Amino acid sequence: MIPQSQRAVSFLAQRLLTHVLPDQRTAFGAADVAFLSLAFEMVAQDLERGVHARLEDIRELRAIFGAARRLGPPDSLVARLAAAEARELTDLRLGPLDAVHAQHAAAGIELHAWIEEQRGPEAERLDREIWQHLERHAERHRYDVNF
Amino acid sequence: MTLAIEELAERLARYLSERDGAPTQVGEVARIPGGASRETYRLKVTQRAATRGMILRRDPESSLIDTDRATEFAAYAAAFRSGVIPVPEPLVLERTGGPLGRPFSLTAEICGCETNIQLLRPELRAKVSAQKWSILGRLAALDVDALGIRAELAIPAREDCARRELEYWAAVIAKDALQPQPIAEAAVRWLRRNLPPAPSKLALVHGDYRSGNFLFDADGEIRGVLDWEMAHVGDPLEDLAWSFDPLWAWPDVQLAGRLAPRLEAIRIFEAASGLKVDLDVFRWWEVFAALKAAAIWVSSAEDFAHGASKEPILAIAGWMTLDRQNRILVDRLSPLSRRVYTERLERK
Repeated sequence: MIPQSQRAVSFLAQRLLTHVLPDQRTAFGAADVAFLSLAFEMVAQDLERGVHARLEDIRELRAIFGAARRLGPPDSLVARLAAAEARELTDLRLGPLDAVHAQHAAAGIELHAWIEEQRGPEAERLDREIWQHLERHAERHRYDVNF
Repeated sequence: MTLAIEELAERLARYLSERDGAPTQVGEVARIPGGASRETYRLKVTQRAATRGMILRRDPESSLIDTDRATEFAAYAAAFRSGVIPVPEPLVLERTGGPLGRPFSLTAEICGCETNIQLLRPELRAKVSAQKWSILGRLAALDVDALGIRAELAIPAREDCARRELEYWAAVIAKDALQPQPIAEAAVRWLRRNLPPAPSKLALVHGDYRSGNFLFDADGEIRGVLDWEMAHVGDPLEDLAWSFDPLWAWPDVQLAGRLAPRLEAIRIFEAASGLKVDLDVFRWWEVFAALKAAAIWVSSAEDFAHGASKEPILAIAGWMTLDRQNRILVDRLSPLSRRVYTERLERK
């Protein structure tokens, strides 16, 4: 196991900037190393938060799916929501978790499109909840890098 | 096929010698950073005792933007012929794989300039912004029928401009997304529900008109508009909105392109183009600009994951810039938007 893996990758990113970049003989080579360092820094951030961010997205979407049922969505959409909710969150490796996350996100897109076609205060409220979720989703996955 | 610099110079020299019927030497070849949609090189070409700096743009194995080199060259040529848009002189177009294995073009080099707007002295901002949006206004004012571009660029019906561009980029997202894109999909639906009216005129649209894609000198003179690979004919507001996207000014998102307040840039554009910008219509193009950019970043991530090239800039675009573009789109579209990245434009 790599202890404090986020910090380890971040150190490697810094090392590229401080020790490899200065030895580059061309502007293209220097830019390439700088981009690699930036990419490593993003990998470091994802390493730390990747599972948490995906689980939070799924948790919020499940709450939205539950609320949406009160508006009587069509059977096909109800089935899509139920299929996503039925997935167990036992395998937290990023690959399997990504598949479950994608299934929820796809069902969420379908639900959002349906909600936009509905009228009334309940539909409006749910539309706002979805947008709040999308805002939090975007913030959860943001990269804080100096570029 | 990756070519070493020496091999590339030798092949290009042989090609130009045969093409022009004169012995040619190619030297001082250096690859230029950036230019993710094409491999870009600066070089010197010596022919008939004269040496000239040139820029070589060679199609890459994988690209941020999948466009036809001939389209870009035709747009460069049209802008150059117009005499009112500063562009490097287009010199050679090789459409086949030819001697370099992939299509390429050569343009004249414009020396002594920068593209990085962060290197511009603050006191020159007003001068550069006046030129930047005046040039765009002049481009918008050009008569598309007089540009001689029909062979390479489709001329859409005015009422089809917005829908055509939207559906093109929506299809890119549908095809290339490695994971569902709930924010971009919400934007596509909003754009479909709110299509703008036809523009009063068609224009040659640069397609990537932003800080970073024009050359300015130490005195703040804009000497050349670059990177016409997404050029097409369409609504002139498209370029204006693209030039305003907060991504191009990050993190100083309050100034368009790090240069000027947006309403000031609009005023400059209107004066040069003779067009009046309807801010409600313009909002559609601002959202479209963010969506188109998101589509390019989605495509970059796909290229990095599955394409032939593993250039790190493709990963950066697919990860970091898509993250920022998602935040911009939410900011533009959410009914609860706190307007962190985008202001709502209103004339006083």
